[in-house]
Formats: sequence, C-alpha cells, structure tokens
Amino acid sequence: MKPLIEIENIKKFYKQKRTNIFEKPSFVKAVNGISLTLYEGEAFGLVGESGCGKSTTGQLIIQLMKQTDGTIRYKGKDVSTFSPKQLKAWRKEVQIVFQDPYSSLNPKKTIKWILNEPLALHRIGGKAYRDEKIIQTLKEVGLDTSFLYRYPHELSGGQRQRVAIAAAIILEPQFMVIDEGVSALDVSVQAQIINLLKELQEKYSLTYLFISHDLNIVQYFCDRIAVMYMGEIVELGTTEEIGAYPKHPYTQALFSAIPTIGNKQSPTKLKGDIPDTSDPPCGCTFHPRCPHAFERCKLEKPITMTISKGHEAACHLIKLEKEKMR
Amino acid sequence: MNKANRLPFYLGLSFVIVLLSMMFISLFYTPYEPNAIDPNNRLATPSLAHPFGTDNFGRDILSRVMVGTQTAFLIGTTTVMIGLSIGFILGACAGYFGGWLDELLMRFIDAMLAFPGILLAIMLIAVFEAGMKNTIIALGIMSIPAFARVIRSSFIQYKSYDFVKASIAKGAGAFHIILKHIFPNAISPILVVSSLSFSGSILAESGLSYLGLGVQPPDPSWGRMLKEAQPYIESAPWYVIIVGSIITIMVLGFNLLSDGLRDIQDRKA
Repeated sequence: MKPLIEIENIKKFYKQKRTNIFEKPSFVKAVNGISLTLYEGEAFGLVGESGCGKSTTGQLIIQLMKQTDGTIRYKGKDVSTFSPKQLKAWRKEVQIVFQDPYSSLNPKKTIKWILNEPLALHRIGGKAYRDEKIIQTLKEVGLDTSFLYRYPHELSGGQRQRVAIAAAIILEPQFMVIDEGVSALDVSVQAQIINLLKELQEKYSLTYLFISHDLNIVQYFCDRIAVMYMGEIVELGTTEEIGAYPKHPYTQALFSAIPTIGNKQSPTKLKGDIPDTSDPPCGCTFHPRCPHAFERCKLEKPITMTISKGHEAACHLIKLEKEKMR
Repeated sequence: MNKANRLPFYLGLSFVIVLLSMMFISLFYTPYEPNAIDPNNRLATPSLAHPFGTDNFGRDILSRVMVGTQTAFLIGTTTVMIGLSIGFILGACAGYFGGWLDELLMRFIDAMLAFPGILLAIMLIAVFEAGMKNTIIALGIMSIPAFARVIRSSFIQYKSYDFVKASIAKGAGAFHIILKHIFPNAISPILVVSSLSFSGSILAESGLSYLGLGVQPPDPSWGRMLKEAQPYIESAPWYVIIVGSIITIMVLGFNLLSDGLRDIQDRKA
C-alpha cells in the first residue's frame, strides 16, 4: 500500500487572551505533536473524547487551518509549500463532510446550486456536462432529481447529509475527512449513510479519515484506529488488534464502555474530567485519571512503543511489561 | 403565529406605501404648481381647493409636501446606498479577515461614531457648501458605522459556519465566500439597518434644512417648510402641524418597518 498522506509531528496551539499584561502568554495545545500515515484506500478512524483535538487534526490535514508546527505531505509533497494555484488544484482531491448537516449547507441556496458550486469553482465542463454530473451524483447518493430545486430546510437530516456527501464527491476526490459525519443522525439513518460511504469507497477507491466518538461505528467502518487523548495519539493499530487487545489504559476504558448485550462486566470508570488543555498535567497527560498510574507517570512523558507490527501505544506500563518478559 | 406582533410591520408598511405612492403621483401630477405664488391667497385655511391650506406666499402646501417626498426619498435612498456600499466593504473585510485589519477598521468606525453625526454633517457642509449633493454625502458618511458594524457581526457569525468551511475546502476564495455564501444570509439584518438608516437620514435632512444648511431653495424640503411655517405658528397652525406630521409619519413608518422586519427575522431564527 502506498502512503497517501503523511503527517509528521503536527501541532496546533491557540494563544490564550492574557488577563493581565505581565502574565506569560499561555497556549491551548489542541493538537500536540501527531504523526500518522494514511495509506491509499483505507478507512482510518480517529477516536477520542470531545475536545481532544480530533476535528482540529482533520481540519489541519485538509488545510482549513494552518498548523503551528510540523509537516503534512500529500503523495510525498509538502502541502505547506503549495502555491495558491497548486493549493486550489489540490483542494479538488481532498474533501470534508461535517457533523451537523443543518449548518453544512447554505440555507439560501438550492441543492442544485450547492452541487454546482464545486464544479463552477474548478471550471469543470460546460453547463450540459455539469447538469448531467449533478444528476448522476445525486443518484449515487440515493437522491433523485426532484431534490434539485429544493432548499436545505425542506430536507431531513439524512437527506442533507447525503447532499453534503454528494457535494464532496462531485469533484471525485481521493481523500475525504468525515468529521463526525453521522453523529448527528438517527441510528437507522447512520447505518444508511455508513453503507453509502462504503459503497463510494469501493467505487472511487477513496481514502477516509473517519473522525468519531462512536466506537461501534468506527469498529465497523475502519481498517485502522488511532485513539487520541489531549491532542496526542495514545494508541494506534488495526481495528482487530485494538478491539481485542487494547494496551493503553485509556483505550481499555473507552472500549470497556461500549454497551453490549449480556455482558455483565462493568465498564472501567475514569476519574474526573479532561484536564485544562492550556495547563496539561506533567508527565503522562493521562496520569490523573489513569487507574494504573504510578510514580513514573507523573514525572516522565511516555514515548510511543511498538507492541506488534502496526500496533503502537504510548504508556509506561508497556515498557514495564516488556522488561518483565525479558 | 402571533398576529399582534405583525401589526407594527404592516402599519409601517402602509405608511411607507402611502408616502411612496404620493411621491410617484407627484412625479406626474400635483394639484397646483408647487412654486406658484398666489399673493391673494396667503395662509389660506385648509379647504376643498387647498386640502392642506396655503403657505405665506400662497403656495399650495399639499403640492409642496408631495414634491417634498421626492427629496426625502432621494436623500434616503442615496444615503443608504453610500452607507451600505462603503459600510459593506469595511464591515465585510473586518469581519471576514479579522485580526489586525479588523482592529484597524473598527477603531476607525469607533472614531466616526464618537463624532455626533449631525455635527459632522454641519462641519462638512460648512467646509464645502450647502446643497442637496453635500447633504447627501454628509448623511451618507454618517450612516457608514451602523452598516459596517452590523455587516461585520454577521460576517463573524457566518464565517464559522460549516458551509463556509466546506466551500473553502472545495477551493473557494474570499470573494466567492463573501458574495455567494455570507451576503445572502446577511440580507435580513442589512434590511433592518437600511430602513432605520433611511428614516434617520430623512430626519437628519429635515434638521439640517431647518437650520438652513440642507436642501436649498427652490428644491422643496420638509425641513425648510417647517422653518418657514414657524413664524405663523399662531396664525396658521395647520401649516406646522401638517408638515410636522408628514415627517413623523415617514420616520415612524420606516422605524416600524425595521422593527417589524427584526421581529419576523427573530422568529425565523
């Protein structure tokens, strides 16, 4: 498999407003050094609590915001070196679908206008070609021509999300970020949209970055999963590995919280809330909530360790385990 | 849903429509030549021949009020156009791009707001000369801050919406986003400010003309008519009352209209 997107140590810091002028400027570290490689044709899941930086990561990858530090390479080319013209051409290949289908479509425009917009922006084809392409794409997402002249408020949530997906795939991209793309929908509609995304993936050999907090969906949809906590990836691996043998205590807690039928095992409960991101705990950022935390966790930040091929996690326990095994 | 809430809107709309039709009629027909002097018929009481009476030169007040609507609407429309176009550019740039440009433009707007509007107009007219053109320019400049602020806030609001981000992700530039995505959504608050600024300009023009700084003779103006009527307030009170009422109806009409628009828009949101 060829790597499509390589992210190296990207960071996104937000400067916080100072309350007095003698204060040192403090930063919210939304994304704090993430490295990832997305391969062509895979569905990669990014999970974590709200506020852990998953959406920021997604928006950084498609350059809706600029990273504070680090590089993003698309097919081996550094995205930040693109000229405006190259950037616009690149935008054709990467797309995003947002969580809330009620704010991701312009309320004042018809569905036809919304689908025509990407084609017009990239000056693709003449009017006849565009009209045909719009109808064809509408059909692909399961809507018919009666939707062409409707406005978003006349559509249901699921239909709107289909329109948003149609507007994203009409440019035939190679990579799509699905930012909580189904979280705002009913469960039955979620399944429909997920299946639609799978169909499209096969048809266009799309690569997905699937951002979600719903582990069930991620496990069903994705080939690989990364778990984020406070702007960092704490564990990464194939869906099977992570689902069966989660190594990081945070991943373990997350997966034990998935409700299952008949399972009497009580979920691992985490203490407290996510700490203040402008003032993260020292050492391992997870130690105040970790059920297995020991002295070293407070002092030293764990480095990412490879557990097996393609499965890695950042936790001191893993090192301890390895030392024991020796 | 709630009928009572719509009443101000329809009341305002009907006032405006009455005045608007008066203006259109005056373009083709007035009962008398508005500047025709009739010394034998000075300060006549309202009658069938002169429904609003005559002024101190024997001119028909109804005809003059009708022609005055032309001036009022001309001033209102042109000042709104000046305020809206400049305010849109300033507000859109400040709201969309943010950062230091926002700070710079908004401090400039704050400085303009710190100036009492009518004083600014008087100053401009004193430096240049009194007349319709300078009045319009002065009032237009006066109305820029209101437009710029409202447009800026709508831009800040809609800039963070997902459809704007999605459009950027599809390759849209700032110009496309501003005109195709944010502007259509910002129209209703712009309409509210426009109608408010419209009535404000007419009122300010009447004030300036009353002081003799606004529209100069022979162009008819309500403000100047009010000034001319003042010495005869005891002998011909209807003159003052009629002209004053017309100004009130115009301003009230547009204010009710803008209030009503805001109510309707709030309920939609």
